[in-house]
Amino acid sequence: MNAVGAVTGAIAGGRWRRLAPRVLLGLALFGLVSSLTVLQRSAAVLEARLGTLEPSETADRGPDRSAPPESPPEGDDAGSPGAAGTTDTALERFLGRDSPSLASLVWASLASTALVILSLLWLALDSGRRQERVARADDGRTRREQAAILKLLDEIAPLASGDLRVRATVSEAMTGALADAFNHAVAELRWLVGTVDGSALRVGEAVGSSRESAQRLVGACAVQAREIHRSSNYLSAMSETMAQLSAHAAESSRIASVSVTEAEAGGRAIQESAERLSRIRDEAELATRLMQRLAENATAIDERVETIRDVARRTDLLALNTTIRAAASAAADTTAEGRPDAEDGPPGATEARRRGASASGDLSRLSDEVTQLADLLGGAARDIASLSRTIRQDAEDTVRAMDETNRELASGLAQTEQASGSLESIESVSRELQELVHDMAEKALRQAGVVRQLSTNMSVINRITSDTSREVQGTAEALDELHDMALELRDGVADFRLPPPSRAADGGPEAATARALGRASVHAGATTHARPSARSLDHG
Amino acid sequence: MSHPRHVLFEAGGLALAVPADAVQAIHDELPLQRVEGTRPWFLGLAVADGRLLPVTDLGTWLGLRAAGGRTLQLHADVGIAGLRVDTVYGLSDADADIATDDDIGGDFLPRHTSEEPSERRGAALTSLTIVEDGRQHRIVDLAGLLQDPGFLDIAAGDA
Repeated sequence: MNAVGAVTGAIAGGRWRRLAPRVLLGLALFGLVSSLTVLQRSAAVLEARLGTLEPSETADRGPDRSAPPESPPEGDDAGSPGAAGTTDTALERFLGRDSPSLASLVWASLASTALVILSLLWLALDSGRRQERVARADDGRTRREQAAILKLLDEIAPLASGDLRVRATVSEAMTGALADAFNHAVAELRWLVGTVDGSALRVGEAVGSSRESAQRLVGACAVQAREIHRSSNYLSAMSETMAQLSAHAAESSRIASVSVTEAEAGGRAIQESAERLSRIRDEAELATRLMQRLAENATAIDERVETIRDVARRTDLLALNTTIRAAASAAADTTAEGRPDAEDGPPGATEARRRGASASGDLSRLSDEVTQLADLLGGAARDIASLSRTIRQDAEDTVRAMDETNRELASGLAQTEQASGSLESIESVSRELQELVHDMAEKALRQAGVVRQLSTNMSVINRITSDTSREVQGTAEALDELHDMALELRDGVADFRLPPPSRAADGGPEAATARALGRASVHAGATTHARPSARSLDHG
Repeated sequence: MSHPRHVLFEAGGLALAVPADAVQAIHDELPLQRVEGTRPWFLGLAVADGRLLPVTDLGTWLGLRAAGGRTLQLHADVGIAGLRVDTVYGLSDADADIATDDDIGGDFLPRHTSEEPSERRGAALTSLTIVEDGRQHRIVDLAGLLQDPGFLDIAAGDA
């Protein structure tokens, strides 16, 4: 609608004579270009079709290409109308019925060329007339423009000294657009300077804070590196300790294995001792039974000895009584011989007394021998009794000793069995201990490897921490440089003078810049932006 | 010098002797029948050779310890009595020495071991001693013993 309005306004304002030859020239050029384009396209299509047509026509003609066609085209001259009609027919056949004819295109191109030439002639004539009019109007306009330029120069002169508070007056004069663009550029510059100053300030503050953090980080990295180094040393010591522990555990496992072997040997020895003690106990029990039988036999002997002793006593008693009788008889004979009437008796009585005395003597001797036999028998009985008593006593002592031996053997056997059980327990415990210690050794070894790896990792971490510390130190130095750069940047924009903050709506150069940019944005017909866009400048 | 032979024995620990012709027999473990109401030294009655034989513990009678061995059965001509003695050693030799107290010199008797008066032994023993095998056997006066009223009084309570 705006374009239509502009054209209508231009025609109504008498400017159609200046625009008409240009419009006509444009239409002619458009037609010429279109015709040439279509013609070129048709020629390309035709060439392509001809490329594909030759083989088919050759096939239609047969193998002999030298033979003339049956119905040659009417007229070989392409410039004749008859030949053109034949070509159009062929083109129509090749290009299709809907395509424009090549002749009409050529005619359209020629017409467009002629129209272009006419338009150029018209433009040349119109340009001459217009130059005459311009020459007449240049004097007044030059004066007005010089005045506007001088005014604009006066308004923007403070900018050379960095005063960004300047503002050019926007008018209908030729410098109005320049003033508007200048104002926009100054606003942009204000925004840029304010932004640079604020950013430099914030960058300085942030750099200062970051530098402090970096310094603290450097210190922390140093502490961390020291602690990591110390931890690495601890881990190295722990690794060595774990290795020693593993070695000790392996040695303990070997000792436990030896203990198991010794316990097994001890168990076998004790088992053999127990069997030997069992055999000794059996033999001792047999000896005890034999001794008891010996004691019983001694008792039987005592009984027999008692019988012998009784016989001896009876024999002794018999001998005593016999001796007493013999003594009494001898005493009676002696008494009879001593009497006075003994010689007066019959001669047979004397002989009888003599024989009686002789018998008494024999009886006395017999009694003495019996007495001696009784004494011998009694002595033998006493000796046998003494021996039997000794044997019985010895047997009883032996039995008691054997009983004591049996008890000791039973006790020893029980202790041996207990020792065997204890050795079995020791063997079992030693075996479990060996397994545990072996497992402990393996774990300690693995743990030593883990600790060693951990120590290596700690060394890597320590190295990384050192690198980080150096990097952070470098970062701190870079931050120092950045801080210096921010200061230099602030110093660089310090020569620019900005409107006071009170002049801005909400304070700060950003707000003023935003307000200026908002105006520019409204002028550009766009939504509000934080800063002016290039489109708004182009529009001015 | 020839002497009558004697039976040598011991009673109550005292070595004694009696004439061999006064002994009828020597018995071993002669069964005794205790008689109630008699003296402690009267052991009881026994049967020997078909006749009752009163047996007296000579050791206890002499005031010594009780005898516990053989029994001397006295000849009936001497008296019907049996004397319990400890050990009978046998008969003395015919040529054994017979000594008096003067020959021996001193009292050979042991000390009293019972409450019996020592005069009882003085009435039962002679002053003669037979020395045989180094032992001194005092000869018992059987006649005096068997006629001693105390020996004959066996009823308890009168002594």
